[in-house]
Amino acid sequence: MDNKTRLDRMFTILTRVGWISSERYRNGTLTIMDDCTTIGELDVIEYLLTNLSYCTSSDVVARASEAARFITNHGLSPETTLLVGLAEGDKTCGSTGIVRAIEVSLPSSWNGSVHTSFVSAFRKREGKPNLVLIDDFVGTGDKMSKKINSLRQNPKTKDYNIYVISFAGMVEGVEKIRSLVSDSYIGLSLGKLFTSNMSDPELSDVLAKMKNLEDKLFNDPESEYRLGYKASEAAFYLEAANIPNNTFPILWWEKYNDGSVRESLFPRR
Amino acid sequence: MTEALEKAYFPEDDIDTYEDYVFSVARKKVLRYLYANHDPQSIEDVLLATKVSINLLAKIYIEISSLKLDFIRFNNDGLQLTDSGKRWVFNNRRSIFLVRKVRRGVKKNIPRGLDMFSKLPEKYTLR
Repeated sequence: MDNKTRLDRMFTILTRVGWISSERYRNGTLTIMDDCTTIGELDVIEYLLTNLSYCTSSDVVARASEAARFITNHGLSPETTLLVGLAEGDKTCGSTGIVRAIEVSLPSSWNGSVHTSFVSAFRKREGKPNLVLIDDFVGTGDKMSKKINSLRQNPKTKDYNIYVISFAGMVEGVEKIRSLVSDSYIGLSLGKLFTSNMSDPELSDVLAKMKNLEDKLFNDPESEYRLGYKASEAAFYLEAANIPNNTFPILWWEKYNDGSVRESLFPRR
Repeated sequence: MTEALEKAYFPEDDIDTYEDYVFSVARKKVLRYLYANHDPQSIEDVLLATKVSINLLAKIYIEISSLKLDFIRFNNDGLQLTDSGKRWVFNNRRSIFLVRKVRRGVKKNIPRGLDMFSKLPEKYTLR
């Protein structure tokens, strides 16, 4: 692919994807442009970027008020309910921002019933029978289902009516937890980007091209991060949040397979 | 030296203000270049001549297209201001070319930040 073709294609992509034309994505854009060596690879990147759900603080406000309605529609009140994020100890967690946004959307009577972690909430449970678990993103559903199962196995917490709220989630992960809880609210449901929208032979062709791109990042052909953690194929980013590892590593992987530094489009910690 | 310049001339810790400064200068450069050339210009030529990044060029294209669809055109031949686009530039030459929204010092330092293949100043890319 010559330089003119590469620049023309990249320019077309940038004009179609408004958010990426921002200066803050300049370095990441150059990185992705350099990574693509064929037109086919640029096609795959174009499909990924144009279909990526790029969410801003306005989306958080909108989903938080919907989540607040979900809470009140289920008859949950501060006297009977604990709202809890998934943070552990003093570690930062993506759920915290969403917890705060929901708290702001609820009446002030909820003050004191909203917590960033279950441990702090449990100390102030005061016999409340309902528990709402809040997260920013449900990927494979493993983390959330593990949390719910550990609550179910503990004699002190097994009787909670558990609800789940998440800003966004992968359809498969959400299905996994739906049977474990009373009800759930997922602000944005995402399917697998390629697998849900394409069929063979186009699908295998696109997956092969994406794997070619990922070969530049991984030495391990069986890495669990190929196509996103456990092949989640997520295409999602929330501004100012940590990009989930379920998204394609081409968006956030910070090293090449030779160990050199790669300036990714999105940071991930 | 560069670090001292950035400290003195770039707004502290505010990437949005930085982006606004860079964008206003880049817009001026790109419009001037396209206005001066009648034939479609390849993206590569525009980038090399104006030394703006491809992201900025796309942002400028989106902005001008959103004013009116037929002001600017991009196809296989390249990027071109249409006749109505040139008329718009001419009629608005004062606001496009003459208004100085940036401080003199910032303007002096912009070309380095605008180079097509340069990176963002390090203070914005702490990883």
